[in-house]
Amino acid sequence: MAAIVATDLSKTYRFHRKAPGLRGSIASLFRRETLETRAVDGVSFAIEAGEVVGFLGPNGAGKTTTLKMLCGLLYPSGGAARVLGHTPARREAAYLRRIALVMGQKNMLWWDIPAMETLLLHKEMYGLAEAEFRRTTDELAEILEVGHLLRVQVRKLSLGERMKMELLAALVHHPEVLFLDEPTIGLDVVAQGRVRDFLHRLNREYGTTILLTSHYMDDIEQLCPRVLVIDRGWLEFDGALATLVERAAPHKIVSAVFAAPVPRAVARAALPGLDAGDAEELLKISLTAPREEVADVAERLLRLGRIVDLSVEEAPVEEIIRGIFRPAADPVVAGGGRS
Amino acid sequence: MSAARTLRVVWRLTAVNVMMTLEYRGAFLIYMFNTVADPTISLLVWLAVADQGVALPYDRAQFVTYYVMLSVTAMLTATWLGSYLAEAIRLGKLSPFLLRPAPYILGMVGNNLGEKIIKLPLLLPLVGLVAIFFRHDLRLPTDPRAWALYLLSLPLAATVAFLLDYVIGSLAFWVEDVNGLLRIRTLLGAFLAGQYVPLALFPGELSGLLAAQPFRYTLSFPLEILTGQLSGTALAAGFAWQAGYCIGLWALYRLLWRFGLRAYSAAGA
Amino acid sequence: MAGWESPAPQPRESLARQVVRHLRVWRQFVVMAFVREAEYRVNFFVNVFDGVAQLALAVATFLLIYQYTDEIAGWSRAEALMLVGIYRTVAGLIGLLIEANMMAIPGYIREGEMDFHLLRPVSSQFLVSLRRLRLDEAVNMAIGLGLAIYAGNQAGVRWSALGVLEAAAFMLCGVVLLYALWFATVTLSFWLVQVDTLDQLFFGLFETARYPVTFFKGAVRALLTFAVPVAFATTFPTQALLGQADRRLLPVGLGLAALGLLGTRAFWNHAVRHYGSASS
Repeated sequence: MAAIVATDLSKTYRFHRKAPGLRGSIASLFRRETLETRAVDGVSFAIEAGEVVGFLGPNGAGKTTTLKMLCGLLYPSGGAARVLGHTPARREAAYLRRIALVMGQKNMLWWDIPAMETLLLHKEMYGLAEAEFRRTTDELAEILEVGHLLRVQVRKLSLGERMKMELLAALVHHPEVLFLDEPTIGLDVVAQGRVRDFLHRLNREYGTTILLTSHYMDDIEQLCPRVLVIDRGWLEFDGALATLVERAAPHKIVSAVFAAPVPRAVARAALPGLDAGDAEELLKISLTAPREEVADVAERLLRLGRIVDLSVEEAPVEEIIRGIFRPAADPVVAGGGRS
Repeated sequence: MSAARTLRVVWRLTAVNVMMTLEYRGAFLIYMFNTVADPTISLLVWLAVADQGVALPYDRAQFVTYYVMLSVTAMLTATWLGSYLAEAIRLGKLSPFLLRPAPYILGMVGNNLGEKIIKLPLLLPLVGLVAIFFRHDLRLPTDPRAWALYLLSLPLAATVAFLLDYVIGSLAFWVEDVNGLLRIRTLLGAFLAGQYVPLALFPGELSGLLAAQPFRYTLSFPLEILTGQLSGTALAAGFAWQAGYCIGLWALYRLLWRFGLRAYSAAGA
Repeated sequence: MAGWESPAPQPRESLARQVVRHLRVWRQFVVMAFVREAEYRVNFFVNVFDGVAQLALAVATFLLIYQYTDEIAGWSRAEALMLVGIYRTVAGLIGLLIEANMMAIPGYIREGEMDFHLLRPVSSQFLVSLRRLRLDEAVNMAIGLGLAIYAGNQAGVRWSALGVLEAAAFMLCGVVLLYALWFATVTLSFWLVQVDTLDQLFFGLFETARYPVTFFKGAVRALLTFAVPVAFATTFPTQALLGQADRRLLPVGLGLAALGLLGTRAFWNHAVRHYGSASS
């Protein structure tokens, strides 16, 4: 059974626009222009239990809005969401016990006391048995390597340690579905890697279903076999990351390192598209080629001289993704009526 | 900076603050309700005492005048900058402002005036309602000179209150936490300014002390003008005290900032 | 490590078990407050000082009034001071249990922390209303009680278990009603941009509890008894201790308190629904 199902899910926000300046302010006392914006516009997908799915899209594309509808924080203005057989927006206790939300920019831990106290609070809130709570806490603390920090005030922890604690606190009640909004934001590279490793392990060993949004392509690349791309409220892509990359970037990068330098003129003659720069002789040649021409290009390179190293690579995913999203325009639709 | 340019800057800053705070008009309305309700309750208590036939220094009309006008006067002389200033100093938020060609204090003046411009039209209808409720006892002065003097002492009172807060907030240059001090100033200041009980009803032996302390000149003095309790000499003395506090506090502010900014930049904030 | 078994769909939790779970959560709030308080020694003294200063000013106001008369609306000076003591006790109780929470709620909404509170399998109203305790207010409560007892002795109160119980019941009604009023006000922050001033409204209304409602007449007294129910918080408990309370008012108070709780619950749920449909 699918753990998460979104059917034609939509969310429209209404807000008021005010003309700038003092006159606008005064005018807005009497009359306000109501505007609507479609944050999410008819999104449908299903996620199986045990999947890890990445949510991609530029800022304001509707990622967080969708995530919040799935948690139950926002009411859909159209369509439906089902998570673990529940309607999230009802926020029944039975549902809330089975999910968890972690947001990278926001703390749920109590700031000026040790994290252990927050964990104990969660123990009472989720009605966990003592033995079960101890076992889970010890286990997670060990994997996250934060056991010695449980009795330290949260504000004295580093950003990375704090994020691990947030994860620990979010997981003491064994949620089956974990929603993550930018879980690695602001962390250094090492801490990001640790968090990723942990999430990977969590999914593999506990079967936790994970849906995450992230700005960091490394998160998506290493964690999510499947991605959902959302842009301006539309679901643009749903499938394997590799497929997305293939579709979005039909070019590969072919590089060769030669035993002896190759004269520029020779290289130019063999490879017409080559941008060789100013150097008279080249020791390394690197160029992009359409997928279907990669073999041909490699062959030409081989003919130029003895090759020490030859590689064919995909373009960096981050660049590809950036290429997918057209420059965002103002998504505001005017004329929702006046109030 | 020339006086004309200072005025232009203050006007600009006030306009900006009017715009910024217009958004909070709903909250201000509630706040204004409070500003009116508080003195009204005090008034009712005193009227209950007066109704028992007890001889009091004020008659009914004076009580009503005092407390009805108290809300307007208190709003127009209010300050709230102390903790903001202290925080700006403590967290090093002052720096970007110091590079601007207008003194920092002008921003606070603009904020103060801007909010009051928004609050006044919200407050007046409420005061009007209270005035109608007590119309039988309300005896506002009919002599235009009394009103002229009131309108003269009002900005002076606002200035004393403003500078008092500014000076205390400025202590944040040297003191880690001035919020306790500001709290005492608020509590004690309101009491000694006649916010709850008119100073004229304090024990007679204290009158000398009460006349000399600064809080009288932040609120009580303009109201005393309206209740008609002051003789000519008392009026003159009051204005002298009020002007004196304005000048003295201004000088103190300049002094504190001269040394304070030195401490501030030395700390590298 | 062993995988965790996913829980079977749980049967509906009985009301009794829910109550027990909420009580255990509250107990953890108390523990957390003690852990926190150790961190804030300086604030502790500042707050206690603040409470004492407020009490002193309230007493001073009464002393100024009673210079001119021995009795106001049947209240002697000692009796009025006793009421000030009760006022301080109630203020301390509100400070201890709910004040910090009411002031924090607009921030939860503004900063998005509310999202976490709404996603707990615990009543969100319970959570946001009681999670922070201000233990220093217990000292203010004690000081208030001290004044009430001292002034009560001066007023010639004959202390009885029944009177104390009656006073406590009235006080409970008063605190619940004041909570309901304040919470309803704070709930407005789901709609209003800046609501810090709403707290001021509550404080302003609560200040009227420093006076016996019998000082006032007609509409104002009715207002302070039923609409802004400060009478239940201070006047009626004091009268109960003086043996002058109108017993018929106790069931009225209990009924109003229950109504207040149900009302805020409905309003809160409505506001949370609005949050889910309109916020961005």
